Amino acid sequence: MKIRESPDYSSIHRSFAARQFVGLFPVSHMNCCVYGCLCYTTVWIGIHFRIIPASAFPARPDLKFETQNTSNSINVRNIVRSMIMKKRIVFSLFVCSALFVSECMAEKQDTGITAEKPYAVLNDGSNLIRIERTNFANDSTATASVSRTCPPYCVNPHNIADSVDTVAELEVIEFMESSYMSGEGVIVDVRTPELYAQGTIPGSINIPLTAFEQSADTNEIKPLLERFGVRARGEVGAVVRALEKMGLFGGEYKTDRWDFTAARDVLLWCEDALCEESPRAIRALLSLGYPPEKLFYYRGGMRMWQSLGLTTVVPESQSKFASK
Amino acid sequence: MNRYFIQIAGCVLLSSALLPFQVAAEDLEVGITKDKQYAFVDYDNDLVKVQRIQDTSHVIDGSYAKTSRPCPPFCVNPIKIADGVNTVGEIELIKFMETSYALGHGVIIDARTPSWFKKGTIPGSVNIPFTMFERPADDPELAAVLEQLGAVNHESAGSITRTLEKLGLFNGDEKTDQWDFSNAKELLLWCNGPWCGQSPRAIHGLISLGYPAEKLMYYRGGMQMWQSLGFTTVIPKAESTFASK
Repeated sequence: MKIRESPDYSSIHRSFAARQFVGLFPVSHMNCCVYGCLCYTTVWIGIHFRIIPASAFPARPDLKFETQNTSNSINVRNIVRSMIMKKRIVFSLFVCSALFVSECMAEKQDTGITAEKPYAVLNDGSNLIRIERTNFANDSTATASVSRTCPPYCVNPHNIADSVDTVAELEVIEFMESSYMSGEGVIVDVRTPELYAQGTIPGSINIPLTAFEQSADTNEIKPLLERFGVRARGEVGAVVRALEKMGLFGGEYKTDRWDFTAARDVLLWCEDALCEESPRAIRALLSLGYPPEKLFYYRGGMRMWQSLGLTTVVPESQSKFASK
Repeated sequence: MNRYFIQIAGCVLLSSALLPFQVAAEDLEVGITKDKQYAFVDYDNDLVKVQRIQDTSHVIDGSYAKTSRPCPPFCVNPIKIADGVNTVGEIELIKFMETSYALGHGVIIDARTPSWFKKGTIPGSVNIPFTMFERPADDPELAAVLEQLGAVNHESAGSITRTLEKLGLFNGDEKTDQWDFSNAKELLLWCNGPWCGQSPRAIHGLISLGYPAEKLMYYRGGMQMWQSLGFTTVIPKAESTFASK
């Protein structure tokens, strides 16, 4: 699924490395210009008032610094005329502008995901998407908190079903970087296609709730389950079934109709902790026999994702089962 | 006489006019779950009704609407904050209010600093700033707090008893050289939101003091989630940092 243009991988890491280097200096993106000027001025003053020794800057050995002739009055023109001073000015300008430029190039990340992790990069097969938090500390693009009527929009409990892990943003990002990257994992936006089209969590495919609640008897549910790595079973003998129910032949991952042995990890989410779509989708999968340890419930949903300022994307294709 | 009559008539009319609203008020449009519309918490000698804001157009604004606090230090917390410590949501917190807290063997702790606590807190919470649990183990104030949380001083235990306890006997996994936590209360800690480091620090401090992890709960959503779901907050009356029930 082609989502959006993104910078190439190496430049993301290059700017990150530059930021690490310049991160020693307490400047922010906005202040790099001020910093540059300040640096230059400090060096200038230091040289003029001889706080910085002459030997600190490279000078031509054949020209001596004329100490006898300098007075305390600021005679700028004479100083500048001196070749040595010109070199010092150039050198200090060079140092300051190097810092200035690298600081401006390196995107200062005030708001990381964790202390060690300023951003994450998601490869959806054709694009690299940078998952990060919006960089302006006072940005309040709060998704409105709405007391939606309950029922039907009631507060979900923390755990939605036994053995189904409830996860939060860090775990979603970890899922993106491991399961999703390897092709093992699927991230599912269980909301309506209209909401999906407006913006979604990177890496998500859209499977509305109705698809999950199709009758298991009809073959409509089959494409959805096959998308998740589930195999339909043909006729299974009664003896084999009995043995499977006792736990043999990998029986804990098999039902009469479906074989969940190769089922993928599925992470489901919807709007927020009030929405019922992802809990219902999870329960529908569980009732079909899906292994609960392969299901993950991101309770916070789009609302929490946005309220932490995390990256969302507008998907280009509207297809339900976009192939990776 | 006439004035008096008018006053009584006015009161009767007013209360009868309000009667349908009183009956309807019990059927909230915005409940908590489909079976539960509100809960009651005995707090500060008051009965606080914990429910959700009923205005369906209500939005949060102000500092809890901010999305991008600098990280570090306000980084996103993982869902699991420490081994053995359960992370809970609003439903579990309300259930805790109605069971453990109401029975007296549970404490809801607002781990923020007192100035935050005074601005408004989750009903039922006592304020124990997270810094308390980071004090050295021999701090007398910390000892007083731990005793109020149900820990018993265990320093007088003999060395043979201690050896047996370390092997696991006599509830040894809930005892340290200094404290016996076998009757300690269940604690549910929270702070400002999923990006707030204060309750995690309090939890880690408690664990390093030897508090049993199974008796600790972490309400990760904090004040931000509590408010964003429209739940009741209260301005605490009591000045004390820790009032015993």
